[in-house]
Amino acid sequence: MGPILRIAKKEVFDALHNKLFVVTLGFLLVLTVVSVVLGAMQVRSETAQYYNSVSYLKSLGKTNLPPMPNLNPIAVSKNFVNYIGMIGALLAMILGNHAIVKERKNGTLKLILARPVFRDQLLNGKLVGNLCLLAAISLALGLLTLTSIKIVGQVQLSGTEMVKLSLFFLMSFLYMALFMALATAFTLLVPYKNNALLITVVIWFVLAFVFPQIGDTMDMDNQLPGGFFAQMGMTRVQEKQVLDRFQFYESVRDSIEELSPTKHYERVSFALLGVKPGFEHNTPMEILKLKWLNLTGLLLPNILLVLLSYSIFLRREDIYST
Amino acid sequence: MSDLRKLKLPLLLAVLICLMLIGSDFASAQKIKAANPPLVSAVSKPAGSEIQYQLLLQNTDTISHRYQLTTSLLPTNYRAAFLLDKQAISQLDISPSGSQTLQLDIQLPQMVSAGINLFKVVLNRDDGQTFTLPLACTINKDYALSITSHPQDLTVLSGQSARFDITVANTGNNLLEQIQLQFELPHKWLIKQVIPQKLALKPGEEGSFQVHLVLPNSQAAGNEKIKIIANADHARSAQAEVPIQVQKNPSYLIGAGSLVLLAGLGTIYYFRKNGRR
Repeated sequence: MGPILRIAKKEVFDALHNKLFVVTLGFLLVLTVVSVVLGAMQVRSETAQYYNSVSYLKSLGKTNLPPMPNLNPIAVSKNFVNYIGMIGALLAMILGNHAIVKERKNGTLKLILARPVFRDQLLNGKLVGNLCLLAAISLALGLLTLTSIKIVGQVQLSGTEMVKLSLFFLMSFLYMALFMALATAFTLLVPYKNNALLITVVIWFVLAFVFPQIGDTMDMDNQLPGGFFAQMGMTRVQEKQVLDRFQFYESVRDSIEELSPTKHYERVSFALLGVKPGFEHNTPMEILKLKWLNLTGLLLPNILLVLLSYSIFLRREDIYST
Repeated sequence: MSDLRKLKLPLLLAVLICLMLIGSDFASAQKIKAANPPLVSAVSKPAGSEIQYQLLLQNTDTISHRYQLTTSLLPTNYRAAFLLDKQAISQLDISPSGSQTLQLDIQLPQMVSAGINLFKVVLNRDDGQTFTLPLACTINKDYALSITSHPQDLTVLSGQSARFDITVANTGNNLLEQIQLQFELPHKWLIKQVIPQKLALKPGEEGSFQVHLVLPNSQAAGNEKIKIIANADHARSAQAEVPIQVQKNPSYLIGAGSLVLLAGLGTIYYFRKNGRR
């Protein structure tokens, strides 16, 4: 077993002995189970309601029966998007921070690097271990959702729905991986454990809550209840003329919103789960092709943060300080 | 005759029918009583419009009854609904000597020939009695307008504009003037220009509008729809839906790719310069 795999294995073992991580994971699991089971029960109730209506119509001698409505069973995971957006991100930040802090606190970082292990191998091991853990969490939650839909909801998913659900959990994995990479990079950059975690949480807060809000609250049309332009009695053409004068402002506002990985995660997830209308007839690949900007918004920061972690860790001399 | 006598028996339902034509031509309700033999009442409407009949049902029996409401002989593409207090119903309970006023809505299809359509309202009572009421609607083609062509596969980048054509046809028998398009758009979308703004079409004639649509920068990628109706002085077309796929500008992808490439090259150069530790 190479040093990378050995470090990765130890990383998983350590995480499962981290009380904060286990408690947060438990919280996420409980919320997911409750939300998915309730969603599956609703699907079951709607299915039963449809069959009751059909049998009633048949008893009246009707032959022109309504078609089965699209119950979209995979939408039972829609609340999961919020849970991953908050608890999943926190879980990932704990992992990323703990990966570095525990070695500093125990004095093992010096010890490991005194052995024939390169710094990049150590970092790769930690990243691989934590990514495996996040992948396992995503997979477990995916299987839990599938089982609930099948057993509680009594619905058999089609092949396309299975692929869409799998891609949704892949997006959840990418989103959590991003915050794990963010926490790792900032823990390496700021050599004080508490400051690093605090800074990471503040950045997460800004990315997940402030930036998406800026998109809405700084929208000129949202400045008055009922719409600013409607209240001013402006037509659509006049509205366009006003907005043309504020093009720079509008571009900045839009760009700020696009900086939020949470917004990207929400958009691609809602499209895959069919929560956002208009994607019902698209194949999973068509959705990804349409939502490439959101996919890029999740992948790009991951790559940049991992590269940043390498650049910091490989050359810094003060990595041992606590 | 024996059947007709049965209908007159006090234990059975007496069905009084009031037909009310709600339209610009008639302000007041027109009531026609059902009698023996039943009357055939008719209203005249253009294709695509809705006909509303008001029916007064009276239970003259000494016990309450449940009535199943259906229509028969109505062509399959006509949509019928019985409404009580604006709620669709398929059955109705009437107390002894009580009565209820119902509305029957018939939605005429857009593509339908002019002429008279005969159909029946059928009431099946819980004791097995069946009552029928013949009705008729006359479809005129004096004024009729339809959207005959619109884009089916339009792709637009967010923040950019698109031009497309909408073709309308006068399918009625009279000249239509002041034909213009009416749009229902997603939030912040804008119709910048429609050329020409208004059209006049002779019977059987077709005309096209060129539409200039502008999308906001903030529009997320996805599948959207704009709804269009052609309106004239005396006619209104059915609603047409134009599906539009919104895509994000690919220049963002080039920017993102360049950024990753630069960061990757920078990291490699950094390691080469400083060596592995």
